[in-house]
Amino acid sequence: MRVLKNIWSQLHRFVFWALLSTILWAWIFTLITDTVPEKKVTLYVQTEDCRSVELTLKLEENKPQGIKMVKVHPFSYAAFGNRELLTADLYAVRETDAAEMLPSFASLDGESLDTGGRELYIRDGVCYGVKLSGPGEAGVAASYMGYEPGESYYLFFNAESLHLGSGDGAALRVAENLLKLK
Amino acid sequence: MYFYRPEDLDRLKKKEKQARAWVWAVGGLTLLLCVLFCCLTTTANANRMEIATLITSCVGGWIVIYRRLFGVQEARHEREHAHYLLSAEKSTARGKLTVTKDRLRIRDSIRIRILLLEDGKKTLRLKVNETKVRALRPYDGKTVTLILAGGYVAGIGGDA
Repeated sequence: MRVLKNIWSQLHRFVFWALLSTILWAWIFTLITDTVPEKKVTLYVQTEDCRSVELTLKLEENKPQGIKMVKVHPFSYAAFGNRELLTADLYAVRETDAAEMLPSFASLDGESLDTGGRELYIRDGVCYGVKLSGPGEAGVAASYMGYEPGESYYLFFNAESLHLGSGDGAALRVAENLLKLK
Repeated sequence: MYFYRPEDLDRLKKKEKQARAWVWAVGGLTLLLCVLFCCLTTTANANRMEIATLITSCVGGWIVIYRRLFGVQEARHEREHAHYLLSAEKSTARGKLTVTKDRLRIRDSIRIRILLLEDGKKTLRLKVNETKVRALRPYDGKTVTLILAGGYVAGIGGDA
């Protein structure tokens, strides 16, 4: 009873610490466990649900040389304004949302990407992406990404990515690994 | 009978030191565990490790805050109070003692209990360290001689 009374009398300190420690340690945790953009390939997935840990583990099985980490993030409202979203390398995006994001995506013309014969996303004669899934299709990595029925999804590349052909090409290799997944 | 004797100061200093060491130990252990969790993080366990780190830092911090406020500080306040009582000028007052239920904490000092001492002409309102109230309980409602030091009760007179 005395302990509860003491806690109640200083509740503001305990609440403040809970907030502060959460923010502080979330930041420190990321600082320690994350790596620099030059050594990681980040994929944002805009599907209904995404088994991001399992997909990351699968993609990390076959990491390109020089890459320490592959990160998979499900797309969420919290991601808007997130710097990591803007600096990601790959995006699995719904076709209906792709048009407005198109200026941020890299052209795949001239890039050495093995698409495995999959349909491409071409606008004004420029190729931007590779089809992941469409209505009635099982889709690429369907056991990891829960595609919305009746929607088409494409894989795009960030025009600012450090891992395109002009760089080390790691984003292209990760994309190829992704396209091979069932 | 005085509540504090000079040799009690060493005991209170030791108590404060132990409480301080306890806080440092918990703080250090918390930090160590959090860093360990960060270092043991892999892709497969990243979410669990992050949650473990956040919970450990939060709970460890709460224990540190609690022990700092109600262990270290209380021990320091009691030591300072004992030192004050031992060094202050003493006087005595005799009258009918009433132990009230009025408690209050003096800012940056001990918790006190208010006592009333009626000598037939006037009623003295006195303060006593909350932890020493138990020693006064048997004299509640009885006539007693109290040893006073700077407005605080420092002990009970020998003829009590």
